Amino acid sequence: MLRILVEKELRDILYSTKFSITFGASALLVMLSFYVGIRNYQESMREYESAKSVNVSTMATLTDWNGVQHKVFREPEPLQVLVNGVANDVGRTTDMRVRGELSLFNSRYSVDPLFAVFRFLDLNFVIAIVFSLFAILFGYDAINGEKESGTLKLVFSNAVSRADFILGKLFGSILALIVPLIVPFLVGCLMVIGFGVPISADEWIKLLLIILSGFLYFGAFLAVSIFISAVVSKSSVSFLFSLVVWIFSVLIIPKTSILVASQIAKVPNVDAVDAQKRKFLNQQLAGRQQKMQQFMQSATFDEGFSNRFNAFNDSISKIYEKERETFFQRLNEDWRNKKEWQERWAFRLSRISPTAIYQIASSNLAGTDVALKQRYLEAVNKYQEQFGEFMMKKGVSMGGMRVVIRSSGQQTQEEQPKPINVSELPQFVETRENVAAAFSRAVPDLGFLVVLNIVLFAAGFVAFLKFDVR
Amino acid sequence: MWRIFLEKELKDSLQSARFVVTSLVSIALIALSFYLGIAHYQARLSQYEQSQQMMLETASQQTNWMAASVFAFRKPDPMEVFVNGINSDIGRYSEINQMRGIKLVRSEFGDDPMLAVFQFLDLSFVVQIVLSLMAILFTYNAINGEKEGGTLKLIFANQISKAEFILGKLLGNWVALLVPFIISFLIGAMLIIAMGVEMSAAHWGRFAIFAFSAVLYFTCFMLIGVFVSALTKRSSLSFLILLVCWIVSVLIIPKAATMLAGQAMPVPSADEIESRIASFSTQARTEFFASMNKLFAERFRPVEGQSQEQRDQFVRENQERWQQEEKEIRETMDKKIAEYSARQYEDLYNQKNSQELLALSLSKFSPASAFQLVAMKLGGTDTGLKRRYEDAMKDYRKQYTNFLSDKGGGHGGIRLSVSNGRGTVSAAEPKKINIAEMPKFSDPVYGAGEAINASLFDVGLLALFNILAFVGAFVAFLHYDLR
Amino acid sequence: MEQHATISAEGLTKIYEDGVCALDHVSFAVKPGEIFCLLGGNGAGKTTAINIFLGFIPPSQGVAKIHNVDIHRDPLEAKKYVSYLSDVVMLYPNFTARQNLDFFARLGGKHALTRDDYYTALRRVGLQEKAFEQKLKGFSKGMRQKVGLAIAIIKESPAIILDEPTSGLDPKAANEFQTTLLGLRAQGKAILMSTHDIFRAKEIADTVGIMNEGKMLAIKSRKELEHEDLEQLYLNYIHGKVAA
Ligand SMILES: Nc1ncnc2c1ncn2[C@@H]1O[C@H](COP(=O)(O)OP(=O)(O)OP(=O)(O)O)[C@@H](O)[C@H]1O
Ligand SMILES: [Mg+2]
Repeated sequence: MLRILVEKELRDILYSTKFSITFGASALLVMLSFYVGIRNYQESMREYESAKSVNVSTMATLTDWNGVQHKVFREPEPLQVLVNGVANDVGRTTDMRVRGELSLFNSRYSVDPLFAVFRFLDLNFVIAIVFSLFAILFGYDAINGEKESGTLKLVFSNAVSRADFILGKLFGSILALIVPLIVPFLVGCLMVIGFGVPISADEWIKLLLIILSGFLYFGAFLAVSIFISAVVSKSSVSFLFSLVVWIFSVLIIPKTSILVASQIAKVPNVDAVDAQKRKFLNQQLAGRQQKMQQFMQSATFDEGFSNRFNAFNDSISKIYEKERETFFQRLNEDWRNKKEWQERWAFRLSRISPTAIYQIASSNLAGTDVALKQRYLEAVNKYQEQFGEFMMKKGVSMGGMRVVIRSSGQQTQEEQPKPINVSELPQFVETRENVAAAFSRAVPDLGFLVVLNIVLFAAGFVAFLKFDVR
Repeated sequence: MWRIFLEKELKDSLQSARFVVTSLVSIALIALSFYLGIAHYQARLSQYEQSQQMMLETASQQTNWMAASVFAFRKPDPMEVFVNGINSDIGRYSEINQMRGIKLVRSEFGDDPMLAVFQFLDLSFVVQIVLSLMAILFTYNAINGEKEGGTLKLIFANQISKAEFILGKLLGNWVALLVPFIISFLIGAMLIIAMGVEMSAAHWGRFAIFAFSAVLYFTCFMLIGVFVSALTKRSSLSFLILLVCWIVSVLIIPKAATMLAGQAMPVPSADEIESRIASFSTQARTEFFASMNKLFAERFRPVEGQSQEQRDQFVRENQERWQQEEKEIRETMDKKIAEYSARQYEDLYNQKNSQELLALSLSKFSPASAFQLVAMKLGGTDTGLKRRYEDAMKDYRKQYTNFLSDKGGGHGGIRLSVSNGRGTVSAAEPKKINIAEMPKFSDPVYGAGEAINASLFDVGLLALFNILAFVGAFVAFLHYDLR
Repeated sequence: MEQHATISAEGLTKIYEDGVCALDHVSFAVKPGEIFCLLGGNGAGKTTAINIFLGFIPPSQGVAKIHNVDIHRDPLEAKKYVSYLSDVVMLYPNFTARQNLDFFARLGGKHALTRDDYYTALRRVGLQEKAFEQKLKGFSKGMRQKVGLAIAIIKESPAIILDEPTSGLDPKAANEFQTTLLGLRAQGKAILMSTHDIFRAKEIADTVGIMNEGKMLAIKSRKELEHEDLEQLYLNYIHGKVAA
């Protein structure tokens, strides 16, 4: 019996104008998002490479490691262009220094505010916004529409159970929604391969998981709209309600929850923290100058002066650096704790909306979630240690200050310093997350989606049991 | 006669669930967006004031102007309450430094990616997304719904012309939409006053134009709704078509336009430009060295084979002239490089401008982005915001650098002067600097006149959309089959 | 001279865009104080004829006149003299019965009517009192039909055109409707109605026009029908047993 109903549902939808329009629109959008994503990836890869090579070539002209201004760049990842998340908001460049705090700048949107105006059209956007709307479109008159056209009575004049009927509705419409997503998605995957985007097996699996969570996501919307259609007797009214649910879920709740959370959980603003840091550094500098003065006053300026000076400089630098590090760490940790608490609140609140749940899940899978910045900063900080050690070996002082005594006027051809060998510099390699790590972060939200589907469908089922078929 | 329709339309709307739900939702959302916008603005303002204060405080602790780190901050503007635009995407301040150029750093979204995840709910967003949807919801069955209800025939069994009918219909629906709009904007204006946002008369003027273009914007969608409804027989179909139109114009065209323009007119990144300049200057340098070598060889040709003494004599005689010569060659090379790099940057600037022009012109096919552009220009949070601040900060940097050199410049850090075996650190002068002497950064002026001028074209475009949609609706209805 | 016909069709022909010939040279006339019943099966062309009389569609050939005004030439003038009840009566679901009536009355040029006038009209078509101020949303088909009928009569125009007015009415309501109609006739209205209901047609019609496939097969006056079995006659005509 179920099969007949599913078949009817599918046929009903597939032959409808509704379906042809949604199929056309979604095919276009999904393929567009793939195409633009791929082009974007290639573009940013080119930028990334040229930035790296400029960095290397400027260093290569130097003759002294002391003058090196090394920069580290965040490598674009293929999945990031399909699920943008915060990837375009977080800075991509870091000025690498031997010591001191690192920061990220040159985010995609800050460099090209033009793109920030409307932001990018990524696969995630298409699923989160467009497909949820289509799901509503398919489900809003599932029950009451049949009543209006008088077919409901006819159907139930036969030996059909209500369970069969509503399951048939659900499966039929889910299938009808999956088709317009999966077909262009496969084309998109072919484009990814065709354009030669280097995508690892892990990333393929992540992509698959993203799509699966997309199914769960619009399944939830389908269930909601079927539920509404079983509660409200007129289809025009149920559409209105579904649309309001959609507006709130997609547009309002996520945004508001962030802002509500920032009211509930106050976090000191970043500039205040910065100012505290600067103050601390200034104090350090003052202390340092005093020490330096003492040193100079008791110094004798003979052969060994520069060596002694440098040794002294290095030793106090080390002490100050340690001090600075502990102070900054405490400050940062304090701030991060508050911030994390706020974020937890924000996301907890936002999870009222299926859209937020889906976006959190998919950005976790793609590695473009909020924690992207933190993760990347950690990687860069780790690299900083390596870099610092290397520079120390190259005789770069911790204080960035060096006394080199050169007798002037003796510069001859032989003494011309040799350029540094940049290839000795340790490479910054960002390890991409494997599936397991990404998946484990996404699991709670995927679970939420599953539960949401079940609950909403159950609600729809119960409402339908009470539905007046007449 | 149209007044009867107007009245009926209003009565019909006011009694329908649709009206109640949509107007409650839009009033709630608009009021919410006002509140959130004000809260955000005030938080930013206090952050701005605090940061500036702290900057001055730390700087005033310094004893050396060179050691003071000076920043120029971007000042929040009350118009942000309505349109956040690219405000959170670009950096909040730049260090003003002798060595380094201006660079706006620390964007709000970069600092706090949590905010970037779902972004802000600002008024222009609510208008752009929600009001347009409401407008469609109001009018998708304006014509074909009457047909489905059988009332169209009943109406036209009377002495009524189609023009009267459609005018009444449009006006009635429009007024019904205008009511919640005005209510919510009044609530918003009251919130602004109650929460103490300092809005100048010019700001209010810009706000009024913003409200006006918001009205134009949703009217446009309303007219499109009537238009489609007059083209189709069934209201379910017209709704589907309108929803697709809405998705395309609100969500797709703006994004697709900028992205397509980005593809069609790729602009090299700053790094690429730098690498070009670098390779140009290396080439120029090699050329320079080659020509110098040749020059040296030629210079000494006359004294070839002569004694060391004669040579020295020759060198001494010509040294001054040669130095002059070398200086000239070096200067031409430097000039060439400088010119090249200036040209490259200018090219980049121009390319970016034309990319932007293309992107924005393409996007204007959609009333939604035309409205968004109007809003951003009125709010001063358009793409020009970054440029305006960068320019102002560049000027300030010049001013500040001059100031520093007046103060007896030199590079920062610790200065060591070594004299006859006793060293002193001269930087540690005990007296603290007087921060009040420092020149103040003045924010770029973006007055109401400029804002209005900049947005005028797009307001006109919105009006044009309205006229087209109106004519479309009118003509379509004249041909509408009444049966 | 004979009294002028209020509603008259002369050689009305309608060929739809898809080539269907829905009316084929149909002529008839309805005089003041006359009830003319168009009788015919589904798809006979009754609604098409009525649509032409209201100017909703232009005739392919022939002239339709209301109060001696060619509806196609001067639709606005002609519509002053006609009121109409459509085959699908949904009306405005958010309005009450009275509000619906009020709106259409004013459209018909009746601006000065009071609430009592509306109630009288609604009472006259037999709508229960408690439904007067209820929204149309919850109305049954017959109740909506009654409101539609009230709309048709409140305009007090010389010509009244009704498309299947009795469909969906209960016997009591149908009976009341008949009384109303007879009252209207007594006021000298010319009434054109289409119906499937042979028995009611025989009872109230002054003239019956039997249609099939766009042709007016016969026009019989009450006198001619008095001794005939209308149903048999109708079936005979439809099956072509009787030459037109
Ligand atoms: N818009 C149209 N386009 C083409 N053909 C039409 C159109 N409207 C009606 N017809 C055709 O014209 C013929 C007459 O239709 P009409 O609606 O006038 O019948 P009717 O007598 O009112 O029938 P019923 O008793 O079912 O209401 C039918 O064959 C129908 O198919
Ligand atoms: Mg009919």
